[in-house]
Amino acid sequence: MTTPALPHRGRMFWGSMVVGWAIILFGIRGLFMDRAATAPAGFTKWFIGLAIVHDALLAPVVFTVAWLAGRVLPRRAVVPVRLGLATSGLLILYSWPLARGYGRRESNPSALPLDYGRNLVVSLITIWILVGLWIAIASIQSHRRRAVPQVTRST
Amino acid sequence: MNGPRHAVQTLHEEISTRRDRALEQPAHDVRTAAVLGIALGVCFSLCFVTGLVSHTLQQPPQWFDWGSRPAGLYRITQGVHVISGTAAIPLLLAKLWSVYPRLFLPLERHIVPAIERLSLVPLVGGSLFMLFTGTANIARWYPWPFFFPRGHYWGAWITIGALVIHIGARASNARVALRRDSSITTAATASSDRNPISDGRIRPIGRRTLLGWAGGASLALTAVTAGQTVPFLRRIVLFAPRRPDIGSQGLPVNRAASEAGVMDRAQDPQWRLIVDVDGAEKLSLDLAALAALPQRHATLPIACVEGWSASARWSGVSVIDVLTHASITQFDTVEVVSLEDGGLYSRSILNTSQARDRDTILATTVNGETLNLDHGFPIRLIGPNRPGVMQTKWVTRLVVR
Repeated sequence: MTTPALPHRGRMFWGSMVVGWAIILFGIRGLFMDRAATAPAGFTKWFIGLAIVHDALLAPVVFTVAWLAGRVLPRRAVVPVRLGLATSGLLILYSWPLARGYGRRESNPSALPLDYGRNLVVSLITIWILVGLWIAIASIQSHRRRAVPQVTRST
Repeated sequence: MNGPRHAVQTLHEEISTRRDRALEQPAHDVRTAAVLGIALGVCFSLCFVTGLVSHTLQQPPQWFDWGSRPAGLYRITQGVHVISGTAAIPLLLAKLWSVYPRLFLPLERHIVPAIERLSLVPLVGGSLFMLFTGTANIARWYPWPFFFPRGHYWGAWITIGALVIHIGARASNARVALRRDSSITTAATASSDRNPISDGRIRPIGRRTLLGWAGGASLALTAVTAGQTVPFLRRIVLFAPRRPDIGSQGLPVNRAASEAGVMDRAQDPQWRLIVDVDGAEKLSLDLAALAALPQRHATLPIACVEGWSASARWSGVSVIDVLTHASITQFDTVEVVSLEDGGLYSRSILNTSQARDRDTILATTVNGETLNLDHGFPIRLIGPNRPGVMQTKWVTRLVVR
């Protein structure tokens, strides 16, 4: 079993523990002192909730998709497809509120002025063209590598 | 009763086996985590410091005296704030992916490691919280029940505290792992042909692939968003919430006149600029009287805490010339009051150095045109090195103290 090495407990460890927890407690105190604006219960739901969504939903989905890609795809397509999927997922997550226009107001056309949905589609198409090119180039190189020894044998 | 217990035991063993296999892979080892951690540490530190600058500027303590020069300093700090936050998104996702198998390590039995591990809750929760709320804020989307600037501010303290603990606890391990001859990494690299959640037949994600993706995605996301403040990237802006050249009179608007509820009052012919000193009205000027005072022209940026900024040519009367016209020479602060009915941004304070700067203007024109309502007609404040929300629009009163 591989266990990550235990942290070294020198002056830096203890100093950062004291300072770090003091800063955290300062933040929590401020959160509650400022409760009219921070709504601590709602804040906590989002603070903890996002970690749970990541750990219990997003990460398992990513691991499963990466595993499936590794199992289903031909070997030379695995890396480009995984990278394509990761980049596409990142871009969709980032641009979703923009593309859906959640913050758009008729009174202020200068806010969110671009066609984010179109930009997202164009970006995704570009990403997958690059993925396709990568796989094609890798295939050609692989064929060439296999062809070279045959030529050598025939001469 | 043996059945469920056996199933749990089997599941536990299966999880442990897969976790240990995963931790042997380079993409999940200490070296990878260290590289991503350093990059994230730099981004988070930049975000924290620049965010603190903006917060302190908007709620200045007595001792804090932010000067008016250099004119573009605030613009740079907030550009850096949002750019480093955006760049951190792929880095954070890659880092969490890299260390995810550690989530399944057994609970600590000793108090000190348990407390150190407990600090990962505010670190992970806080990192996701800060980047999610920051990104949603610049997209003007507020699905949560708290006031964004205050939640983001206190969340930043909690996150940075957890980061301090993490750095202190992991720095020595990271230093060892980053050495070329590190035993921590070479042992892992030797058995890199297995997948975290599978057998040895499936190609694993390598360290270079993961780090390359994180760095590349970080750069790419920055490139297609940073044009909202970096001029040479404007042409490839795809996902920035603003473009500096899109908006009425060639400038973006943060709060329209209709949103502020000042449409009628701003166009009222009875509008006057009042100068109050210690609660008594000292001077009243209409637009014609303002136009008769010496006119000042300056090219200054509007720089928003949301990371966008845009420069324009402003013309109007220097605040200091208005004060001189009212025979005011000594003062500590000048409060600039808007026609808006209350609200956090309906007034702003100029300290002495800001008010005395000749480029701190009560502007009546922008880029050669009379200000329109959305840009603050009849007059708005524009000054060097100030947050956009403190460039008060629809000004009606100067309160001198």
